[in-house]
Amino acid sequence: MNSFERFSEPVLFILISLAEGNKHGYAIMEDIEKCYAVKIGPGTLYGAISRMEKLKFIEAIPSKDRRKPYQITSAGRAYLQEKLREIDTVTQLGFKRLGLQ
Amino acid sequence: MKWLIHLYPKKWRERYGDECLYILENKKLSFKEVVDLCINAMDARFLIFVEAMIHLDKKMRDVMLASLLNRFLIIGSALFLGTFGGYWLGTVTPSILELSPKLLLLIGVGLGLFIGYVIGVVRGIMRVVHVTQKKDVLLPTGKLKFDKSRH
Repeated sequence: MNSFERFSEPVLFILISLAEGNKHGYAIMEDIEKCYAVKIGPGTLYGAISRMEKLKFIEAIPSKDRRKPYQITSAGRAYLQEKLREIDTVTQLGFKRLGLQ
Repeated sequence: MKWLIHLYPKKWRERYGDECLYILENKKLSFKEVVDLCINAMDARFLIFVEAMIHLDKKMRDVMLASLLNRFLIIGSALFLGTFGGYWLGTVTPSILELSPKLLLLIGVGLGLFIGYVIGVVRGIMRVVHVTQKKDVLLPTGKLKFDKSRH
């Protein structure tokens, strides 16, 4: 497991949150908590954000505010699509084998 | 809880400090979130250290590797003695509950000194790395010159 995979779940949540629109860190945290009933600590959030910025999946929008908004890049959208397809394949196979599809 | 931000390295604080501080000021942190911050601060420090090693000048890296190799005998002996000495101590010494408070204090002081020494050595290495990226350094083995056009 590389250092990015350790953050794979928060990365997905953050990318999905930003796919809806630009948000700053605190708003991302609240969105994730509201949508998935999952709490992401500020440490994990910024650990994932710094890695995603290095990979150019997201970028900070210049702002005078202390809260810097982030936006998803085209590379981030492509990564998110790929991961969601993978999850979809696994989900469909799982339902099929459970006899629910 | 604002002090938690100081667990992170300076470079990280310069980039994310303000926005992370905003969260710390506006959110009541649970114990789990405090632990999360501590772990990720260590992670950030480790990442910055690894990045510094990767982007180090080849010459500097060679000097450090040679220095490490020269010390291999000392480190190897220390590891050997530590492993077998620890095993021997574990078999012949009484359990920690049977030790006197004075002895426990002595062990604590010894451990503290050792940890301080290790931290000092690591900080020293990082300082040398930092300084050599800005100016030439005069060592007993000769003057170290590095390409500073990148910095």
